[in-house]
Amino acid sequence: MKSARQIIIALGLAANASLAISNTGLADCGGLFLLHMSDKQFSAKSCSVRDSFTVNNFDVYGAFHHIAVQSRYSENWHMKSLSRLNIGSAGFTSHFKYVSLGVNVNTLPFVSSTLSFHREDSLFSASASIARGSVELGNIRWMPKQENDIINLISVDWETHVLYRALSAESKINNHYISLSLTHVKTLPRNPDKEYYIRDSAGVLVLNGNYAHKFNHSRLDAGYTFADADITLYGIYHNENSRKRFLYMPLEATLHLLYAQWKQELLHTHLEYAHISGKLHSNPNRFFETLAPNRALPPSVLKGISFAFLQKVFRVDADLDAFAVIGGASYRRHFGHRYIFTPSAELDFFGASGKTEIDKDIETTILTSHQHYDEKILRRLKSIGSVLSLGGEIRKNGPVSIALQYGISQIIPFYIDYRDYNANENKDEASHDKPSNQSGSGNSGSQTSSTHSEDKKGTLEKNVPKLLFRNGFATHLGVSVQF
Amino acid sequence: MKKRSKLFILAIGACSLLAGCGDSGSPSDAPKASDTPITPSFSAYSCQEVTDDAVATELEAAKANIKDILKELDRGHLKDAQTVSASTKNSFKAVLDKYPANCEAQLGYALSIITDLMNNTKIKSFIDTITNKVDLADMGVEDYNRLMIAGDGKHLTSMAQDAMAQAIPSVDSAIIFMKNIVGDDNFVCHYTLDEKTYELDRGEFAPALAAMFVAKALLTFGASLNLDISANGKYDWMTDVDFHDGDTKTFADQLASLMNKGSSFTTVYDNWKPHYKNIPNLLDSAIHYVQIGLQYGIEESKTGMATQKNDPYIVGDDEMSDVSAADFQKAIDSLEHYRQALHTGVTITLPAGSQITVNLAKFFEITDGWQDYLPYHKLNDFSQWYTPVEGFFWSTNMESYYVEHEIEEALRPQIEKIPSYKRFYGWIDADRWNYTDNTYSTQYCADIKIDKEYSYKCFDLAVSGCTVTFTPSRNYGDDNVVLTAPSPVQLSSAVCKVQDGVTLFALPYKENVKNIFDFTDASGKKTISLQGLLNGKADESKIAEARSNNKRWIRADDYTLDDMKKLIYFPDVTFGGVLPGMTADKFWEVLKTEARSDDYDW
Repeated sequence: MKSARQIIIALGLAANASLAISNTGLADCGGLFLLHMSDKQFSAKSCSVRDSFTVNNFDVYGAFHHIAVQSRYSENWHMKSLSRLNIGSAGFTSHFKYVSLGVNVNTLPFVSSTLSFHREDSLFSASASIARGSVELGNIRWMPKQENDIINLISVDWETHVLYRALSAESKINNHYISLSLTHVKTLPRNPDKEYYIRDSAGVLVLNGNYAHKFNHSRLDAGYTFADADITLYGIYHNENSRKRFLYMPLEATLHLLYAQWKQELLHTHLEYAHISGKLHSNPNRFFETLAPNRALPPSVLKGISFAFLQKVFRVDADLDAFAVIGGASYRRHFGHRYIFTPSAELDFFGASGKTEIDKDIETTILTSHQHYDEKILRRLKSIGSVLSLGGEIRKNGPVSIALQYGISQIIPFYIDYRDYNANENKDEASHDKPSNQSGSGNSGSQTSSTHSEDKKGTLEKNVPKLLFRNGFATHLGVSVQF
Repeated sequence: MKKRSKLFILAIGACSLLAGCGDSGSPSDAPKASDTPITPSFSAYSCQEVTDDAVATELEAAKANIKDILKELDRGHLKDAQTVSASTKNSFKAVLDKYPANCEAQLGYALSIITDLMNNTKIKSFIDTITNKVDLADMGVEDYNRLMIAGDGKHLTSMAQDAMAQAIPSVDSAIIFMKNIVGDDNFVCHYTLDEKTYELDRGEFAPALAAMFVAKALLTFGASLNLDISANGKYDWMTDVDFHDGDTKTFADQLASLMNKGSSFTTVYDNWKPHYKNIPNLLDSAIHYVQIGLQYGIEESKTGMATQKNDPYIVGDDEMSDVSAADFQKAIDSLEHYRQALHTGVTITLPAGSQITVNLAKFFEITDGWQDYLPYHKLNDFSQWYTPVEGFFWSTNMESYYVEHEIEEALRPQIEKIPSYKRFYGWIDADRWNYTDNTYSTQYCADIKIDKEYSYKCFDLAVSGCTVTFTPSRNYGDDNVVLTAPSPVQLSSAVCKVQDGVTLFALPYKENVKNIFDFTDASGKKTISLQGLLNGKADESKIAEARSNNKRWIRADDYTLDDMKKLIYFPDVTFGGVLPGMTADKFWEVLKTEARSDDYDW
């Protein structure tokens, strides 16, 4: 779900920031089928058409992007998210002696502008971008596994309002290239006029440093990216004048990415290391519960009496820690003259390890009786494997240049160790059963009891032939015309 | 306060227990109960402060005890809870003697009345008996006369109903105290839990009082109905059911007896009829007090957070509140609508949108048993239960439920002679691969329970005409069971026939259904058998396809609700006026509408 959104944001921003290429038309489609299991699914598809031309100092371009990302997750309930974006965009970049100015407008709606300064000899350049707009991140639907539950379906819309700012600088001394960039994305919370919606308040900082050296027939790139995100999500039920918070998720995430790549005309190699950590904090305060489903109920008699007879709130603490190393090489060859056929093959190897610790505290209140149910879940995934990519391009060069590209990629794991189990520690029940200190007048007869669930262990589905092409599979088709 | 949910659970638990048990004789009348506390009447709602230090100390000690009782109950320590409960009730009573209008003492006393129900002689005896019977069942006792009848000859159902009857006066007393507490809208109590302070006020007391009325309604319902399922005071038929999976004449006879219109099963005991007919009024009171609780929440919301800060829920419009006053008002209005259904007919919209009129008061006027409202039907004699009459086809495949039953009955006399024999279950396995001589054969295998262990025995089958002969199979069978090959079995013409020199067997389309009863129309003319209804419809092409492929099942289509409308008739589709204005056409139309599942794009 989070990944889906990140991809949409990345693609959306890329669409905004895309620069025109002279007299070029491009049509491109791709699909990523990462997971297709009985309880987890994730897939993304995108298509784009772009055309650009150059008039004097102006690059002018127009583009259309279609992006669809969907994911499903089932546990004791079903959750499905669907994002479908159709983005039409247009923009121009004007080039002057020391300054370039770019403006892009799209139908999200989103507006961005970039101002660049550069020396005539290209020894140094710097640019600043600013963008503002809103993105419909999609729709999330929640449904209980058992039909005829009090809640049949909750359909939540998510629209985010983004303020994007970026600064970058680049220097080229002989064959040495150094670049630095700083990007800050902030989202501005808004209350739309919808029944169920997600409101976000986020700050994302991305720093990147890159060094490149150009050899006679090759180029070496190395760099480091740091990203830090601080996001708070609020799930709101809105009815007439009332807004009720049924979800509160403060998330923190940090990414460190180190990479190096060496490119020769026909041979490319690369090596990356990534470490990501994330945290969801639980908050003990009232109205800051991770999930309070009573508040999301539509108006009914059951809702009216549920607050007295059965209130449930969930407070969730979650920690994610994962790293991955991936390295590999690709090789391509050209055949033919008029029609150039370029087959390519890439083989990458990866090792990844990650764990998520989830600590759920479920509090049930029936009249004055309070019960706490603690559930600790630990999920670990270790995997070693490879990614095989095969592709080909047919190109016809000439006054009008046409190219057709097709490629497929498949993750082939050698080893997967996935564990999913409760990791409850046997806490002293008494620690949750504090005596009620009576004060004021009255008698409560209330109490707390605490229970713990049993450990359980799970694995991923193992029928490998059935997993291929629907899990860890990507495909891409592109056509470009240049004249 | 927690005890209300406990009581609720107790009452529901007792009712669910009754569903599987029986009883003879009516329970004691509701109003008499020697263990019932004497309850004062209140002329005005008020709360009186305790000024005497000694009394205040006693009150605090009693309050602490209530928590101990509930804690012990939660841990399942009934005996400990019983001991503390008796003294706690007395402590509150002592405070009330000096300060009769002290609300804390009233609340505590109301709570302790409920928790002290465990000390009621009949309830205590019922709890002890149930505990013993559960132990007996755990020890493997399968004689239902021992499981369902206590040492003094009392039936468990009767004891449960007595216990429920005994609980009602105590609930009544607790209701009176709680009414006083709810009546004083200034009375609040605070408590601290996990470093959080909670405040209880009318918003909680009123729903709690409503729960007490619901509990009383459930107890009255449970105590009023004749749920005696014994046959002349004995439960042999249940033991039979357990042993033979319901395949006995005694079970068939008992079923016919219970479903008979003249049966006393589900009738209301004469001395309970006034209480039973009063259940709608109890539910009316429950709704009334829920409305009072919700209205209190609305009133509190007008002053913002001032009086709500520590409430279990906060009423308001902003994000720092749980529910809006508008939502509460809608709930109050809906409850008012449903409340009318307890007295007169009101229109209710069902989940898929169909509308029906419901008058629940009429339901509680049905005191002569529910058998009169069953669809027209005719129960078949047990000798017909395994006869295929509808929903079956003829095939060369021998794996027929009906054939298996005839072989089972032929084998039964021999198998029942095995020492410590408990029960057995047999089945035909056509085309079983024989590992010894690498051939296929048709086998009949039986799982036989001897003492606590299951043993396995198989015979090869040879069929000539409709005569089945058995030879011991070389592959399967446990050595500890000595079972000689049975004599040949002649299958009846109902399950086997020879046509053009080929032996054909009767196979159900898709469900192994006994021929227990037929649906009829009002004149008593058969419309369809249960067997036919559950096996659905299959045309000749489907039957021919299954026959040619020697399949065991047919993909028969289920009967639709439109079909059922022409097959199932009710003597009174208004069910005694519970659904006033209901017609057969409308009844089936409502079922059709509500049966449509919601299709989500999932």
